Amino acid sequence: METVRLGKTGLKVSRICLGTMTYGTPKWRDWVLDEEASKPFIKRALEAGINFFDTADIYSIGESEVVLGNALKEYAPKRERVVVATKLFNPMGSSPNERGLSRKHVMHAIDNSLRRLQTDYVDLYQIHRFDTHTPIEETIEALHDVVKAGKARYIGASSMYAWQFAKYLFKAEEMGMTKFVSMQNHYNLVYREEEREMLPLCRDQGIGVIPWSPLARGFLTGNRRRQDKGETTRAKSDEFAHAMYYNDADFSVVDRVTEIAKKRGVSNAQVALAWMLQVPGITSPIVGASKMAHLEDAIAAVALKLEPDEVKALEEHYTPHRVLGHQ
Amino acid sequence: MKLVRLGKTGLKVSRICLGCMSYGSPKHWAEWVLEEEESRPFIKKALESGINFFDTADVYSRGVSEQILGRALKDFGANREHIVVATKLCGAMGSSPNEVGLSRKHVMHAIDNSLKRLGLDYVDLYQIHRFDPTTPIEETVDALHDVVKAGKVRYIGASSMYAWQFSKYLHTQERLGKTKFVSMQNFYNLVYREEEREMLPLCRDQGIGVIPWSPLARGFLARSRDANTEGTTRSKSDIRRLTYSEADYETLDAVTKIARERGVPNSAVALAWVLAQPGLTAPIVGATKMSHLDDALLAADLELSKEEIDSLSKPYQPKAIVGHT
Repeated sequence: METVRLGKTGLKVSRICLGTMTYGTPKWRDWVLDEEASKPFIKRALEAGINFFDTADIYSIGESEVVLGNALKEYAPKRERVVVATKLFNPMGSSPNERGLSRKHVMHAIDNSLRRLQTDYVDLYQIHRFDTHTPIEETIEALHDVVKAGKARYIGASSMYAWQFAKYLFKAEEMGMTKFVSMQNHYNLVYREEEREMLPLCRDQGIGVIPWSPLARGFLTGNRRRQDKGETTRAKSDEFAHAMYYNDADFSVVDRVTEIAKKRGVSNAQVALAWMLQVPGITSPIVGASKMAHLEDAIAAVALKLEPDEVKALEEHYTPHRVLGHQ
Repeated sequence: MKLVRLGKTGLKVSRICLGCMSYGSPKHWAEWVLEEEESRPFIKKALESGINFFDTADVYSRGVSEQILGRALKDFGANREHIVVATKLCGAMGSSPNEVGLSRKHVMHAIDNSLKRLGLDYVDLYQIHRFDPTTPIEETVDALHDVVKAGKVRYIGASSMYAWQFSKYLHTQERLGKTKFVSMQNFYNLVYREEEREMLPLCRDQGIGVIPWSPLARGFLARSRDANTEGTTRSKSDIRRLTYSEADYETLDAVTKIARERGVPNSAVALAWVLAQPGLTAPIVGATKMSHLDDALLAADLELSKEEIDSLSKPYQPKAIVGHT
């Protein structure tokens, strides 16, 4: 698979990042696969040339990192060839010091993630959200120290307001410290609010963009219908998705995806991911897979080039949404 | 009228800013603009009512708005130290590519021309009217700083742009040790609240004064539902024709309901809502009838309850960006 630079860094990543939120333990969320069920996906991803794997400490409360670490140890050729990304921020315990982006938690969180992943360093260490209870200078310095200690190679951020991300970037520059190189944000054909501020900021600053939920939790694959609002386990139990993707215009977008997919003889997922991959400044969507077909679709999407009129048709019905994915 | 600080500056401005876009020359610009003689009573009344904050721009009636404002302030004996005169640059003032934008060359010409038309030694607030993608921001930052240091301008401000662009300006100014923007003149009202996502939180975080344009959505919020379907001269001829959704009409109904309960005009309620937003300094209010100005003055003293603010805010639905590109 083609690899590209993550933003303006020298790091090369595959154009699909395997998201591992669905690997861990179903004790966390009922749609999560256990270790044995998860490992074949990581194996297949490596075989297909995917070198980019994203997890987070919070996913299955650490179990996702454990599963990814075990699988990479078993299947990955060499540490240097894979890019492992994880995140911190969310509560990993009941103490107010076991969450957020304080210097204290950053230092604990990275050591715990490294232990669970069984690796000496992570390639990309991401803040999972903006922490309104820690000065950004404190977080910037702590993350810089983690990089200088050799525990992380690059640092990245996730969903927040563009002005907050800009403040982080400019502050790190002012302090002469390690700057964020990536943004993991919520972006897909039925949630394009990031086109207002975040994507232009990232293009301007050379930040790699690695969106989460590129298929809108399956909504774009057409497995939910206007009438009954979805059939999958996750669709039925997922309040977040119900709140976000079910207006009429969103269904019209899905109809366009379906039309083009039929015409091309490919799956909806391939079309939706191919759209994402052609958006200027997008590095790699983060794709989850709980069936092997999900992963095969993502792999195939990289080779699918959409025509300008297809892109236009896919974008035509979008209507503005309120901000979803961060507060 | 109560004066407040413009953002975190020491400058004190009234909570209503008189917008002078509708004063100028209908022959040379837009048909809804008033001539000088018709315009002057509004400036006079504003001064008498304690409004000390006046906003214009070089492009309004191609300079005529600045001339009218300058003459009126002089003729009505405004105390120069008390009043706050704001103007703007960026829009095209001629056909040359050097008579537009935010290049060092144009900044230097534009300020001198504005001062000449206004008949003033300095303007209090000099604002960039938009973002200029054809000039490096460092060049603009440096030129605006020099204009301040030359004594031609006291403070600098910005107008509608993306929050990330404004952030970049502010950061660059800080990094270069140059004069920072102190205000943001953006598009904001009860039926266009997109600025609540990024720009208003940024301004609160940075202590930037917010002075929104079109606080009544070009009159939409001042009229009843029925009157809006008719349309005014301006709403029929406006280059930026806005379309309103059912949610917007529900907002308007909420305005009308509170206005009736309170025994005040719609526009006072809609302006009071703007004034109640955290970090808001002063809406820029245009007036082509004396009642427009009277309503704005009423709004400055109208305090809405939390329940009223909630009922006004509730119907809003997200929109595509309007006001900058």
